[in-house]
Amino acid sequence: MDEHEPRIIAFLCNWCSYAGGDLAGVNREQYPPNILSIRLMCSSRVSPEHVLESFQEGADGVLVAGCHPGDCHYINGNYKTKRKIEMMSKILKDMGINPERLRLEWISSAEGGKFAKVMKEMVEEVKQLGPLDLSDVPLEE
Amino acid sequence: MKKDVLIIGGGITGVQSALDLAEKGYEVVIVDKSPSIGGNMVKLDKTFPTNDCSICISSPKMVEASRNENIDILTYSEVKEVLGSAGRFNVKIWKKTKYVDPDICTGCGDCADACPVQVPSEFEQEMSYRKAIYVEYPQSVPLTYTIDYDHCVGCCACERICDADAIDFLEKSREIEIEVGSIIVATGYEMMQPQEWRDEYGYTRYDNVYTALEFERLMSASGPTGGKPLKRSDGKEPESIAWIQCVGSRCKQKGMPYCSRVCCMYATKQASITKSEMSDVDTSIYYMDMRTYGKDFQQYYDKAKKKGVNYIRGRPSRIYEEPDGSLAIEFEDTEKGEVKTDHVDMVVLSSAIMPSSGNEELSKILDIELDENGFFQSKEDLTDAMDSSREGIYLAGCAQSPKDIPDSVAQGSGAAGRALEPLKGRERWKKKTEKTPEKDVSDQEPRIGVFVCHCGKNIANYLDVNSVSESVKDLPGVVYVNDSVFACSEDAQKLIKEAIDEHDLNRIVVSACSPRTHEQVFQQTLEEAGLNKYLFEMANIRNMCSWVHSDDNEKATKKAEILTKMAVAKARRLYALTESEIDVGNRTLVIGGGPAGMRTALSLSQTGQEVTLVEKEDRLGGKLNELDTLFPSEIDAEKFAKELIHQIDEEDIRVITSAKIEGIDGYIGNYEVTVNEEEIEVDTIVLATGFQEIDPKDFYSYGEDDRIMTQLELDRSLKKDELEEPKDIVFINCVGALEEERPWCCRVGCGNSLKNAKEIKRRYPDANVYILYKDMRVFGKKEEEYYMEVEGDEGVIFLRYSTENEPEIEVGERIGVKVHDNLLDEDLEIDADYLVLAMQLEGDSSVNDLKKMLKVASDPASFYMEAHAKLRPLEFPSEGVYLAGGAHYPKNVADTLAQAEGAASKALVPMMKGYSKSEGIISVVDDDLCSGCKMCISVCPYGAIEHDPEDEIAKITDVLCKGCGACASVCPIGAIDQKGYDNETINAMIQAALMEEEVM
Amino acid sequence: MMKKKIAFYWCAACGGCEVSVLDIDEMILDVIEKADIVFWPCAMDPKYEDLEAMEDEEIDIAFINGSIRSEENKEMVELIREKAKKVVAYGSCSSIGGLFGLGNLSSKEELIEVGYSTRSTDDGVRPQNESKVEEGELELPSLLHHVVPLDRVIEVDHYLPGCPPLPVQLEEAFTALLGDEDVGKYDLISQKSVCDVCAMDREEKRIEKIRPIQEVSIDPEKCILDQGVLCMGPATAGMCEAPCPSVAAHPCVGCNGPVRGMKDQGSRMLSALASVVGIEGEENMEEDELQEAIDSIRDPTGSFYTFSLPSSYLQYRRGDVDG
Repeated sequence: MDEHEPRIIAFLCNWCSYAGGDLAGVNREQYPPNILSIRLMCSSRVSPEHVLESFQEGADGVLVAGCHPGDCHYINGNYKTKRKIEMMSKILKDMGINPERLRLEWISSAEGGKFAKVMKEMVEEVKQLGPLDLSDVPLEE
Repeated sequence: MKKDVLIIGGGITGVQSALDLAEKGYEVVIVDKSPSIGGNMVKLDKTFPTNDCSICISSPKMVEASRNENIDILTYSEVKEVLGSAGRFNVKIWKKTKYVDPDICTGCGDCADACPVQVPSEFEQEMSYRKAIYVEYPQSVPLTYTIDYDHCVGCCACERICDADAIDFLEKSREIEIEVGSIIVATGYEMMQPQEWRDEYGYTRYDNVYTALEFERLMSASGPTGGKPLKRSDGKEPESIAWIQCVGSRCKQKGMPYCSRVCCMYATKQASITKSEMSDVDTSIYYMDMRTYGKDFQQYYDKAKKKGVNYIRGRPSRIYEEPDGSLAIEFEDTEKGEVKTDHVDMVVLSSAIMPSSGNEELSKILDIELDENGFFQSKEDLTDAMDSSREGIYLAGCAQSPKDIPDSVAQGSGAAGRALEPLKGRERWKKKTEKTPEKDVSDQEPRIGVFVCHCGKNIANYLDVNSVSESVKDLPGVVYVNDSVFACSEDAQKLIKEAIDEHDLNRIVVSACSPRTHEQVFQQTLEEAGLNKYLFEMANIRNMCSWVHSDDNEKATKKAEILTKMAVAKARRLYALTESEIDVGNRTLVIGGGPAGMRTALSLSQTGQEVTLVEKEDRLGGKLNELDTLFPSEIDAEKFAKELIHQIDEEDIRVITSAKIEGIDGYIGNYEVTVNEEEIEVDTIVLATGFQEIDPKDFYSYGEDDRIMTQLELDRSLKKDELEEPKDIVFINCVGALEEERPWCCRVGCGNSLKNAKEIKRRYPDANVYILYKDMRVFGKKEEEYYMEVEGDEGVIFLRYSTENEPEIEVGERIGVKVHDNLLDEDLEIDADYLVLAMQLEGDSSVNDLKKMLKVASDPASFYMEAHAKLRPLEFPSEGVYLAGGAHYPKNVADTLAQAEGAASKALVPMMKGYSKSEGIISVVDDDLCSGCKMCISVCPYGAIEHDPEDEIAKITDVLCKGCGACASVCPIGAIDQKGYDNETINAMIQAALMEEEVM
Repeated sequence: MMKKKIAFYWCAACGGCEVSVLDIDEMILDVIEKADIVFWPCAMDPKYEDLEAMEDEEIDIAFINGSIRSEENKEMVELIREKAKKVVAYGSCSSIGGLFGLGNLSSKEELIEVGYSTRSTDDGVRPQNESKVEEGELELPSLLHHVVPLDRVIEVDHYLPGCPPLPVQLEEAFTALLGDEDVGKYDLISQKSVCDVCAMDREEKRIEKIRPIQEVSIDPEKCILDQGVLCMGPATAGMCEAPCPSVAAHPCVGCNGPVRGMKDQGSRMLSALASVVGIEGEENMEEDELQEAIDSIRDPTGSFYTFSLPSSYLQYRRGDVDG
């Protein structure tokens, strides 16, 4: 069988990480195509529900990226994001899902290189973890 | 034809002036001699220090200007005659024929394909060819083809192939007469041709010697080598590249005496980006002083050094080609005192910023003066930089002197402010905005139109555009799919509009580049077609797909399909959003009574605004009260302050000194400011709080001895004439600067040291002044010349030290200063009578409180963070608060006043319009669901959510909401959602992204 | 009007729901007036065969409580579904999985092991599906792989969550359902939260950290969450009149599950709470202070999903990796 090609949903804040992604493009930084991004105005918009929805729909990993601490376009949204994602990781762990499948990164609009690097790393890591299968097992064995 | 303002030059500066004026309701004409506007900025690959893609950030501004109903753009045109006077100039403009009807030309480019004549492309610095019928660059505004008469052979191939019949060989050049009230000159600059001035560098003689602008085009992905710097000689990648600084600058004999102000940064940018993209290439910059003076410049320079860019201090004496084709650079390494020869594959000459060649003729036509170098002469370089020598004619940008983009843009806004004076009493908004009435599509099923862009080859070369189009055409709701070479072109906009009409489209998806740069362009098209602009979504298949997966066509295609499907999924759920309007009156508050604040207040008051000016000290003046004279002039700072204060007294401005701002509530149109326990209501606020020296107590025994003082304290002493005649006096520059903790450059320290050195020598001709410096950063108009004058004085001794080798101090009877002179490579000991510290500067201490009250941000140096480093230097993300002067970053009086006029002009936009619009993307509370748990209130960074005690639910104030969506994520029961980004939509995008099992 | 035929059945349940039917006091007379109870094993001792013998859709409304935990639960409700026109998920266990759903944090083998290996009961014997005894062969229904709410095995027409549903809910439900009112599937679930009906005084939320209730002397007038004690009220459907906080000064434990239309009660509460815990001075907070604030919420999964884990996104512990 071919190597598993993971699918990763990336929630990117408009002002920093999406712009960083744009810059990665301008700089022609190459990275694997396994990441599909959804632009939100701020990382604080991401609800744990969106992370769960992604996993349920078949994502093998979820990336949430925002402005560096102190740089949030909306002053302090990213602090909330951090607390939410950290707590979410605990729940994933309890539920038997490797918390590394959920990743939080700070990427500024000037960090095209970092954007590409994070994408590469995440795809590689999630590949290592293998596919996440959340289809329900049969109730009766 | 009667208009209000004529702007000569359609570069970024002129366009900024035009937009500022047009948004206030004045009618503006931009005249540009080129076939399209854009000037020099559009030729750049990226801009420092943020590495923004230059065309990406400038192009939306150009398009905005071309679409503004109050702006007429006359390209391929020149001003021929100006008669009359301020308030009523009669202008004759010669509009050359393009032989192409701009109303018909679709910009498709078929004509250029058919044209048999190759002409070296001016835009590409003659490194590639264009045709005799051409557009300057793909994003040209206007996107109309031009027949270059000089090269056209008259074969009519273009005429035959043009499906639109846009070509008309009978179209004549013609004279246009217009009457305007004021004129802004923004004619920009030209780059020096090094072969004429610095022949020893071998430009044009050797293939692999380039000008910096040529290199800029080589770096550009759309440039002649597709973004890779390849050698002209053999088309191969170089292994080493050298940048030579000050080619034609800072050299009276073989060039221009002035500093070109931008070369250190653009060379650093070019070298560091090259290093990032081709890590094996050796990059070296040969410089005299590294003048990275601006906001974040020094940090950018530090990063470049970390990346491995070599900086070599020395001005090469000549360059020659070796038989093996390499280029030999002969130079003296002035840090090591060695004469050396380096060999590289490619040389880039950082050639000087020169006055435009048309300046002389234009100065005659306008009857305004030029300076000795050929730039336009200001009425006064420092205090009235944007006024020309003639009333009613104003100067902006590089037409006045070399400067970078934000300084040019600030002057652009400033000149727009100045240009209001002759317009007093004019009727504004003569054209009543004929907005296309918005169609109500709320109860229609989605009819989605999808437009896929090739972006020339930027997308189409790396993925299959057809396949992307095919993949969405059967999706539910999609009724129309098309693709275009440049979806952002004017021509494509027309097609989108036609498709909306013809197919009754009510949602539009454009699958192209980034919404961050191009969303607005398309949204405006939607509005023109009668659709709410929020019925629009973009899929970014360029920056986030074709450009980054360019080695795998199949996967890039698949991903582009999915991204487009996600956009369609979102589009299906889009609905019209409204931006509520709030009234903005004419009351404004200027915080800070220094030169920036005073000039802002004056400018605002002179247009009839009700101005309150507050100053925390007991008198107006700010730093002008402390400075002796103003670098690089002999202007007495206090005298200048008095002049400004006098003008303020003449105006109806309320001044509050010893002011303490205790609180600021509200928002644009509604600010409630508590000053000294009094509540003041204003509509806008300008921050002009200036800068301060950092606490000197930890540096060089400061505080232990009265003879050790800061540079500002020396200014005060000089002013009061309290100094005892010194025999030896030592200045140390960069105290607390350019180091790890405070890496930034204070921008004004070098100049101030020079000025005080000169003053001391004037008063005490026998004294020796030692200036211990790192790099001599003088870059403004007349500053380099001033430096040269001081340097010529034998009694002023310049010693260069480095951060690693800081001077040592011993306080005794005299002050012993031990310094390692880098250039001589030896330790020197000086016994000084005074030690003067040019301290690092930081934002004013009020910043920490004010930024919280106003909910704006500051950088680690406590300077306010502007909305955009390049193009919005005077604004904040939210409308209503503006900034000027040292609050943005320390700067000299000329730059400060330009920003002051500019900030005033920006603040005037909503005040003269009389309203401000809220965001469309905001959060909304469902009153039927909200249970009043109060979870959301503290989460809102803008205080936009309040608990309504009557209904016991949360209420959002629309105009305060900036649309971050944090509250929508917080609400535990989904009673708050974010318009445009509601949960259902986000989930629909997730589902669309993962719909197909197939892996990418 | 014809009298309706109604049935009650329990699956994996504590019995509280059964008892709660009687909590409506004299209203039970109204119920009896409008309906005949044709099947109610807890009270009437009918046999499986009796149910099997009924015509399809002979029962008008079947009220089923308890989680679906075993093969028997599944088989029984499938049969009831055949015999009933309408099925009501009665109580939180059948509506959203209920407290037993926390069993989904362990595998069924782990549960059996823990259940039968305590010192007092461990005789080395584990329950078998089939066991031979002198009298013949005995069959014991297996546990299902994990606990599910009723709607994962049969179609549900109405949800009536609550642990147990309170008289106020029951009155509304019986009146509507027996009176042939047009009741939507989720209409018996409130779309507002417990906060809407809670009488405590609330502040805007700025919580330093969450503390265990035993460490706090609760002020009965003030919002319990404001006092730093985890209360699920904000994320919990509020058809209960908030007796726990308002009467007992005890935090809401979230028994009603999410409000109408919300899928994942736990992650909603997480999002809300994580946003406001540690919000004060967040800009300058050191990493360890931040961790302290986050860690102050003990057992987030158990606390946020006490009643709703089987109906949440993740439902049960997955075998992704030993994360």
